[in-house]
Amino acid sequence: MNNSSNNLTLDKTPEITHINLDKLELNRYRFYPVTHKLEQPALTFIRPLLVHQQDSGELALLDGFTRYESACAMDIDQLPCQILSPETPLTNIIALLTEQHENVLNIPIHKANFVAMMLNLGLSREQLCEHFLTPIGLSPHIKLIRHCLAIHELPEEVQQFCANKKLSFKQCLALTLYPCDLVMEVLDWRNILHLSSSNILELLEHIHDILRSTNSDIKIFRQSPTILHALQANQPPHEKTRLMRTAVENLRFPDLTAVREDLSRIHDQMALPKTVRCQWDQSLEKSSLYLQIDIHSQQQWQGLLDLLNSTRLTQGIKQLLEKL
Amino acid sequence: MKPIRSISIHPQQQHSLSAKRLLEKTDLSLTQGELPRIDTYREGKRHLHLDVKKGQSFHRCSAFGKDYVCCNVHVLDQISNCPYDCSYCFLQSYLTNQTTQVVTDVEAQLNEIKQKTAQQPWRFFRVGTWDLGDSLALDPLTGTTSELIEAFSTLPNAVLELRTKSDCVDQLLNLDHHQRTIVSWSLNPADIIEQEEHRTASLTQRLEAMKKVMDAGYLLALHFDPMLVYPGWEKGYDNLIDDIFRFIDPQRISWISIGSLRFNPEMKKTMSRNFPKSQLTAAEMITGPDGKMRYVKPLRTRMYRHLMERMVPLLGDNPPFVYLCMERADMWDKVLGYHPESANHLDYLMTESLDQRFPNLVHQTPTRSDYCAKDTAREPNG
Repeated sequence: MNNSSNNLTLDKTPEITHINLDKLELNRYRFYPVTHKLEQPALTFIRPLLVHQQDSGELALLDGFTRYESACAMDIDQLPCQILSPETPLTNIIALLTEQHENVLNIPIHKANFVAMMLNLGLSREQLCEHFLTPIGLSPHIKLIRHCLAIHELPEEVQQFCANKKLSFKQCLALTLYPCDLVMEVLDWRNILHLSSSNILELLEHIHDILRSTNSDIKIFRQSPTILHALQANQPPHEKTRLMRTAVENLRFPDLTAVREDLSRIHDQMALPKTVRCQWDQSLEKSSLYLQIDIHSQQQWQGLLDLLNSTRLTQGIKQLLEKL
Repeated sequence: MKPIRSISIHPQQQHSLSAKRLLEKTDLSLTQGELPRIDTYREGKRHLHLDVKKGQSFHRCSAFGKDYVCCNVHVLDQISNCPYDCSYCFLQSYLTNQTTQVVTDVEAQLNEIKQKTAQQPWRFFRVGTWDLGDSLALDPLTGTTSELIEAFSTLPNAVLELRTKSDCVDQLLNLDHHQRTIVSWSLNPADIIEQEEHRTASLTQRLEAMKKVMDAGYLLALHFDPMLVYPGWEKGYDNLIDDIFRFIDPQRISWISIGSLRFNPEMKKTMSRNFPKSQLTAAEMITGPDGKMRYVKPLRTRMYRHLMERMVPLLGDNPPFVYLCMERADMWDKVLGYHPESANHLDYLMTESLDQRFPNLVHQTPTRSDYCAKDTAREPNG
C-alpha cells in the first residue's frame, strides 16, 4: 500500500465487544463465498471479527466470514468483535479489506467481485484506477473495470467453478461471452464426463461457435445424434469425454474433418509397414508430408527401397500431397 | 466527419496546411497539445490528433513474413486508427494508443521517402498509407493526401497507393497526379458492407467514386481482402464482381489482391465483445502455425477459386496482375497455378506487369536479376 489514501489510519484502536451474531449484516462487504470450515475453531475465535458500524447503526461484517460461518454451525450466539466507527473513511475500509484478503484476492474471480463491490460501495471508476486496482494485481484501466463487472454477472455456480479451478482473469472473461444456458449445460456434463477446466473452455468455445453458425441453441444441440451418443455411451467417463470432444470438433470443423478423413483413407490404403511413419500438419496449413523411417538392417533398407518405389506408395504420396 | 467529436493539434503543426484546412472545414474546437492517450477503441475514433512525424515512417508492410508470399509493398505511417468501424478490423486489438492520428508534416515524410527510394534506384516502389487506417476517410478534413499526390507525381521510382472504403475522392479529382497515384478500394458484397463495415461508403457509393477517379485519369486497384464467409457468400461475391466490372474498365486496374479474414486468437474475443451480433468469428477457422486464425484451407481454396472463376473472364486479354495476400506458395499453386519464389520475385512480377500494361509508368524496365539478387539486407529498414 504505497498510496496515502490506502493506509489504514484509525484514530484509536477499536474496542472489543461481544456481539450477537444475528445482529450482523453480512452482504455489504462480502465478495466471495465461504467454502471451508475451520478445523480448530476454538483457537480461531480468540481473534475478534471486524465490524463496520454504519450511520444507521447497522453492523456490517467486514472481516471474519469463515469464523462467522463456523460459529453459526457450532450454535455459538456471540463472538468478540472490533467495531470500526461510521466515520472511518471508505478508502480506509477498502485498504483494510485488501490487506485482510490478500490470499483470497489472488484468485481472479474474487478480484472481479471485489471490484464490483468497491463500485457498489460508492467508489468511482477513476478512484479505482488511481488507487485500488494495482494493489490487487489488476492493471489500472477503465476497460478492466468493465470486464470485472461482466465477470461479476456470471451465475453463482459458474463463479464457483472459476474459484475452484482458479481460472485466470482471461478465462473468466471468456465465460462471459457464452450464453448462460450453454455454460450451465457444459458444467453439468462434469457429472458424466471427465472434464478438466481446459476441456470445458474448449467445449464451450466450439459449441458456442457451432450454435452461432447454425442459429441453434444448446437444447437442440444436445439432441444431435453424436452428442447424445457421447453422453449416453456405455463407456467409462474418459472414453465418453473423448467421444464428446471428437463429436464437437467434427461439428465445428466439417471441412477440415472431411479432408482429414480423406487423408486418413489414402494413408490407410498405402498400408505402410510399422517401420515407416507418414505424418502431416493436422491444421492443413503446411502442405508437407513428414516421412520417418526406422530400420535396423541393410536387408530392411533394401526392402524399404522397393516399397518406396512401388506404384501403390507413389500413388498414395501423390494423392496425399494433392489433398494437402 | 460525424464520428470525430474533438480535435487536437501538435504545437509544431498549428501552422500546417492541414491545420488551416481544418479551421475552415469544421466547427469543432481545436486544442493544441501533445498526442493524447486514449485506451478505449471507440473513444479513440472520436478524437483526431494532427501529429508530427516521429522516427522512421517509411518501411516494408508489417504483414511481411517468411512463410508467406508477400508483395514487398512499402507503407508510410501517416494514419493511425480510422473513423470507420468494421467488425473484423484488427486495429481493435492492435493499437496501444487508440487516438485517431494523422501525421501532417508531410514534407518531413516525403524527405524520408525520397532518401530511401533513392537508395534503390532500380526498384519501383509501391507505397501505401493504409497500414493502420483508411487512406482517404479523413482526407476531406486534413487534406494531407493532396500534398502526397503532388509530391509523388515528381518522384522517379515510386507510386502512391491510396486504399479506402470511402467515397471521399472529390478533393483528388483536379490534382496534377501524373498517374503516379493509384486509388484502390477494399471491396466486399453489399450486404456485408451493410452488416460488418459500419460507417463506410456503400458499394454503390464506392463504385461511383471509382468511376470518378478513373475519369480523372487515375489508375485503380482492387482488394478483395478480407473475403468473408457467410450464408450465401458465393452469390454475394458473384454479384460484387458483376457490379464492379459493369462500372470499371479492367484496363485501368493496376493490380488486384485477394485474401481472407485473419486475426490473432485474442482478437476473436474482442470482436465478440465489440460486435456481439456479428457471426464472422463463428465460421470454420483454425489457428495456423503463424499463430493467426484463418478459415480452414479447403474453405479458403474454394473461396479464392470461386472469385477467380467469376472474375477472370471479365478481365480481358491484358489482365491486371492478381496476387494473394498472406498465403503460402501452395495456395498460389492451387488458385493461380504458379507461385513466386520470394517477395522480391513477386515485387518484380508486379512491376513487370505495370511496365508492360502502362507504358511510361515504371521509370526503367525491371529485370529479375535486379529484384531477386538483392536480399533483405538491402531493404530500407531491413
